[in-house]
Order: sequence, then structure tokens, then C-alpha cells
Amino acid sequence: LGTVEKTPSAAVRQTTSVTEQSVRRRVLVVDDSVMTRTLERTILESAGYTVLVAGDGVDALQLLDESDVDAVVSDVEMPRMGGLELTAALRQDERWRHLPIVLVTSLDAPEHVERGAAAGADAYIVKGRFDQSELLQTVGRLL
Amino acid sequence: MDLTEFLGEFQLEAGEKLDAIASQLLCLERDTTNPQPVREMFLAAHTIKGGAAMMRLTEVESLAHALEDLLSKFRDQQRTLDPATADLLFQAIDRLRGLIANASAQSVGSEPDAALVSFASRLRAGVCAPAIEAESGVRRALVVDSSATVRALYTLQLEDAGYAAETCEDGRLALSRATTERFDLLVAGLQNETLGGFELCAALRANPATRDLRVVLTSADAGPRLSHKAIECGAQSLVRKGSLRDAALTNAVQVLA
Repeated sequence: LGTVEKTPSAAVRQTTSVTEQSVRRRVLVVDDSVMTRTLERTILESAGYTVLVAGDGVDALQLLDESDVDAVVSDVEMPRMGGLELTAALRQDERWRHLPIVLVTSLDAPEHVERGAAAGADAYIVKGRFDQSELLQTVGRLL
Repeated sequence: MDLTEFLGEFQLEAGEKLDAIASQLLCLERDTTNPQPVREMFLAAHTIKGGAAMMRLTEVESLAHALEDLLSKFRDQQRTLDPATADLLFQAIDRLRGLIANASAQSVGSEPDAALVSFASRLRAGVCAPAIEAESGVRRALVVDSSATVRALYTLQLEDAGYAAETCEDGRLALSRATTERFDLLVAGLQNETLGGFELCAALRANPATRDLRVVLTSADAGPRLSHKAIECGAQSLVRKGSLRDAALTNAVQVLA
């Protein structure tokens, strides 16, 4: 949103093949960290997804209103509106009741995972165990 | 894809977040009842922790996590800021800055050492003076030098002389640590960033809490004029920086013991 972020390097593009089914799929990445957004965006784009980015829940809701999105990958702790509030808001809206939502967060205590599930998230990825294949497998499974 | 490709990006962002934490801490010092700086510091520490976790920079993650835990107590109004805790927070910022600046592919997955673990648990609990270490009876030395080689060399020599040695690359941070922790000996080079050995020594002598801390200054070009200046500013001695086999530091330390 108004910020210039790095696109994937040629090296990254070469290492992954674009899969047919994900070509037109659009994933919204929500994180207040530019580094995390760039990293997740690079991974998802290298697998053929179209990626939109937002810096917090408020920006994410606005983007969702304006564009078609097939899945959301969101951080939990963010300024203004966090991932749990975002998830709960989306689940209350008919348009996004079944939109796949993946929470990616460093909050790994069981109660946090439960809170994510209670809010209506479909999957929970812990940052300390984060890797490329887990993100792609999770998003791929939900789409 | 190798996640370490994003290390530079992480360092840049984490550096900015640390700057934000430091400036918000100054705001909080001016008005300890304002909740806004605490919220921003907490989120910034959380972002550093999350990024470090993704990069597998375990040392940064553990320290940022401890910082986040302490800040959460301010956020939940279980604590208010006092000068000693502000010092502790500035120390945490300095340590994080060092770890982040020095992060490389080699730091990925490397576990925090005992000194970092001990500092992190002290930070998490918001304990400004390490009471347990003070009671343990082990003599502690702090080595201050901008050169990693010199720090490593002196650590070895001091350990041989029976000290538990900790290191620090920055003069101002050394002053802060010497004031808030208990050391028996400080070994400092003359040329350090932010605060040189003479100035550091003079500042320690001016503070009742560190007036009696023994200080050995080290210099590549020791001579009568520098030695005189060292004594003048309150140091016990000035030794010439030498090789690993050079016993100048060991001798100086043994005289003190």
C-alpha cells in the first residue's frame, strides 16, 4: 500500500516452477513487517500466485473490499487491527465466510493456536518453524 | 529458496525497529504514564522476535522475546519505568543492535551463550542488578575493546587468571553495564566507540557505585605519558597490547588480585 517492495530475484524464480492451478490464484499477505511481507510474497509468487500485501487488518479489509482474493496469509500481532480480529471480522461477513485464512505468527503457545482456531482461521504456521514448503503446502491444501 | 537471502532485509528492518524502541523509551522516560510508547515498543520488539524466528537467528529471538516479555508488564500496567529499568532496557537495545549487526549465515541456528541466557532471564524479570552473580564468589571481569580479536585474547588471559570474563565492544554500553552489574575488574582499550578508555575510567570514578572498580587500560602504544594519564584518571595501570604469549595483562591483573 504505497510502499515499494522487492520483487523476487531471478534466482528464486528459476528454482520453482509455476504450477498450473495456482496461476490466477490471489493471496493477500498481511503483516506489519516489511521483511516478512517480502519473504512470504517472494515464496508465493515463485509458486505462481498473485500476491497482494497489506500492513495490518484495517488495510487488509479495505483491500478485500476492492479486490478478489482467494486466500489470506496473516500475522497476528499488528497495529490497529491484528490477525485474530481480522479473521473474526471476515467470518462474520457472508462474502468471506469460507475464505481460507492462514495465520503466521511467533505466538506458539497452545492457547494462541486455540484462539486462532476459535476466531475461524483454517491453519496456523509458527514463525520459528516457518519454511517455504510449509507455507506453500498449507496454502495449496486450502485452495 | 534460502531464507538467509532475506538476512539483509531483516537487519535493516530490525535496526529501524530498535531505533523506534530507543526513541519511544526516551518518550516514556519523559512521561512514564503514557501508554503509547509502551505499545509501540512492544510491537517493535515483537516484530524483531518474529523476523528473527523466521531467520532462525536464535540469539536475537531469545533476547527480543525477553524484551517483549518485560515490555508486556509495562503494557499491562504491572510495572512503571524507573531509571534502573530504563538503563536495563537501553542495555538490551545495545545488545540486540550488536547481535543484529553481526548476524550472518553463520549465526543461523546458533544458540545463545551462557552470558546471553543470563542477561535475557534478568531482562525478562526486569532485574537491574544481578544478585545471584554477586553472591556466587566468582570474580567477574568486563573486557571493553572495539576489536573482536583483542576481546577474545583478553578473555582467554583473564580466564587463565581465574576470572569469568564478559566482553563489550562499546564504551558507553560498558559504562552502563559496570554501573548496573557487579564486576571486579574492567579491562578497556583507549579507543572505543562512543567512549574511550580514559573517559570511561573517569566516569566510573565519578560514580559512587563504581568508584572502587579496578580498571586496567590497554593501549597499542603504552608509554610514560599515557601511563601517567591513566593513573591520573584513576586506572590501576596501563598495559601495552601484545601477543597471546605476552603476559603484560596477566601480570597487571595478578598484582591487583
